[in-house]
Amino acid sequence: MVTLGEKLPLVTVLPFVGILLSIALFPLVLPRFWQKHFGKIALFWALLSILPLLYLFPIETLHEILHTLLAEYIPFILLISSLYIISGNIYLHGNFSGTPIFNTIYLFIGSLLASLMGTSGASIVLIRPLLRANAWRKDTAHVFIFFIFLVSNIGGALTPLGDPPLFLGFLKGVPFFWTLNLFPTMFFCVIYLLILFFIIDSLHYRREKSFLPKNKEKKPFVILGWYNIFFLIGVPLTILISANLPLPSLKFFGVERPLNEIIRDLFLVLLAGISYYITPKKVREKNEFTFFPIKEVAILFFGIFMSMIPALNILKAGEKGALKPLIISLNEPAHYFWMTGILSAFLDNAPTYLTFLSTCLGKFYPGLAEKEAILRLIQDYPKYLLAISEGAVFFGALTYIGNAPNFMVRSIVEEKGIPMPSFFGYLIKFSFPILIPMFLLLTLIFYRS
Amino acid sequence: MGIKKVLFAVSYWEMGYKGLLEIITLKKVGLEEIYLLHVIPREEVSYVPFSGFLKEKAVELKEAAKLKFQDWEKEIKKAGLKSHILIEIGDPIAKILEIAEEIEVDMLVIGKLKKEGIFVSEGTLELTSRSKVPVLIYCHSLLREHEETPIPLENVQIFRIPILATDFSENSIRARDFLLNFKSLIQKIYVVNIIKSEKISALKEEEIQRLEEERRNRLIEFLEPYKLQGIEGDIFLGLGEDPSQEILEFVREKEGTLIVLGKTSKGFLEKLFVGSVTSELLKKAEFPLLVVP
Repeated sequence: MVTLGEKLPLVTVLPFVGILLSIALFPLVLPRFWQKHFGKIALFWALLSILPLLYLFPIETLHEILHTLLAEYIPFILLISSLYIISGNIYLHGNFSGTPIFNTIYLFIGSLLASLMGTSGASIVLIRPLLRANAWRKDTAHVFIFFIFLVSNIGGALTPLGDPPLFLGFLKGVPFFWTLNLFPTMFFCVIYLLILFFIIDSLHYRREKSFLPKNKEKKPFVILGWYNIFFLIGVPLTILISANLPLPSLKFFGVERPLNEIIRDLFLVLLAGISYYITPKKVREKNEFTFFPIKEVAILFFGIFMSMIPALNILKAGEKGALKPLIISLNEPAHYFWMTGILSAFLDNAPTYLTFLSTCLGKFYPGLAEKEAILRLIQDYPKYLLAISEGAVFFGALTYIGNAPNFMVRSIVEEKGIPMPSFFGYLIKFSFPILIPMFLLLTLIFYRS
Repeated sequence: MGIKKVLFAVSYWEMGYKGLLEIITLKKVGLEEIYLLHVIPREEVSYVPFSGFLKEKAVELKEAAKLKFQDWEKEIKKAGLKSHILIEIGDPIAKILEIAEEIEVDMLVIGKLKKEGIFVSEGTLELTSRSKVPVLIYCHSLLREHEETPIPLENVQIFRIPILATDFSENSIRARDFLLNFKSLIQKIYVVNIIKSEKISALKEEEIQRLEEERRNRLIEFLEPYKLQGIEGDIFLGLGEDPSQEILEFVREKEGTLIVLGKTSKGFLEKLFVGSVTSELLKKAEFPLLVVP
């Protein structure tokens, strides 16, 4: 039987390219227009992608849309929202002094927490204490840039909770604990960056230490809303327990949904709901919590998931699909690492991960059911999946637009009056000179064929 | 006590200036300083997807607010009062409450605007219920829509004829005592209590008479501090299913200029299912309201 992906022409990929380029360019070129109309722009590309398909292949397309919404989009948004809400109910309070040692340890702990709380959640909880700790210093942009590198991106590599691409991989069939295989590379990056950070921060600190407040009033370290840590732990537990429940599947308009996944999603909503209800509003206000970023992600990702349908189907068709040249040209894990990475840096890393995962599956197992193909990929060619995962997660730090928490952190820091580098300033002064050599080293050590 | 410091949080510029003129009249009751606050909602300038903080827009909005406030400051100075300008970015409710607490104001003034049939947003209701200081919710000109032909209503000299709605609770007593701060501005005061219809449904006629007599006596007693100050006053005992509606009708009839009441003491669930007179009045009234915690 000819699959949908084999039938689709290359032109159907254009809306996907359009939405990714919109995300990359509008915020830079027309930020105010983008702020007002990003929802309409996302909807435009989504409709442009699915309406012609619905006209040409109504039944297959409708099935794809429903499958994408029920099995991927909704669980994805629910997980991100739950982690974000629960994390927003935790507030760290204390008198920290932003010395190089403190900042380095703080970034290290943040890197570890990012895999549990998600990079967005960890960024929300940890950025404000770091801002307060460094408030007395004059030149601190580098502290927050390393925060973006480590907490908002690389730290999230160890579990599917850490970074959206990995959770999408989990939804597609990558086992929950498989991402622990990213530990050696993640550890290498964290240590490399922390050493570099300590040196840079110490140089800055030497010039600034005369400003260190002498008789600072001692405040005990307190975690307001500490009980939400249990809700945070509840999130991975829910995912793990539900994955092992022997429950049947239900059919919604012809789309099969395992009952345990439905229970998992409902439980995540429950965890976030209880956490929100029992935590005093003041805690969220101290975190300057708002639902706005989650609303944005939900709107934008609706557009991304819809306009991604043709591209993913073509890629899954492998060499029989219209993207044959791309599939043929990518041969080594290093190719996947760099291609997924560079595109993740300038486009959003979640759809990029899925694109290259589908490319890889199309290359090795064209036409095979996705979950089965992923399990075989892990068994036969694990380095390819490692390369795609690491490319998507690590390169997200390369630009402000590589991963959603990056711009959130920048926003919060700039709002506090700390000048952060521009889009290109970030690239030229920080991410290129620091991260590209690290990625080259990673390639030499881990991906040499 | 007395009214020395007032925080005027401006969200709706179209009513702000008239509101300021009303606040300035409080100099007669001891006002010394006015803090002018404008909070730019964070969503307007921050968290722009994949962009972050719109620095230029933030500067523009801050500058526009500053220029307006600087113009208003002339009036404040002319009246011999001190002024301070505060422009912040954040969650308006949280910021207003935080600043009110920080600078220890005696009263908080906010504006209200008619939107979708009701006069206040959920945000105003939340602000009123969370504030630790009295909140004056000011509206300058709104339409009286209960009239056959809606007529614009101008709320000026708002402390002239206050209507003090009471349920004799602790909060009501605090509201009464706080209003005494404005005694030199008050021409006449009405103290109002509404008996809910359901309260008398099971009572015999003489029991109803007794209840009314008891309430009337309490109203007279409630009004006493004003009588002692030489302020003309009257009481009104009403009966109805919806106390807020009864109060509103009375205010319109007597051409009251301000509704004064204590903050509701109802809990979350009670408010959710039964509602409170305070929140109903906040939603329905075309008059300014003073809510005292």
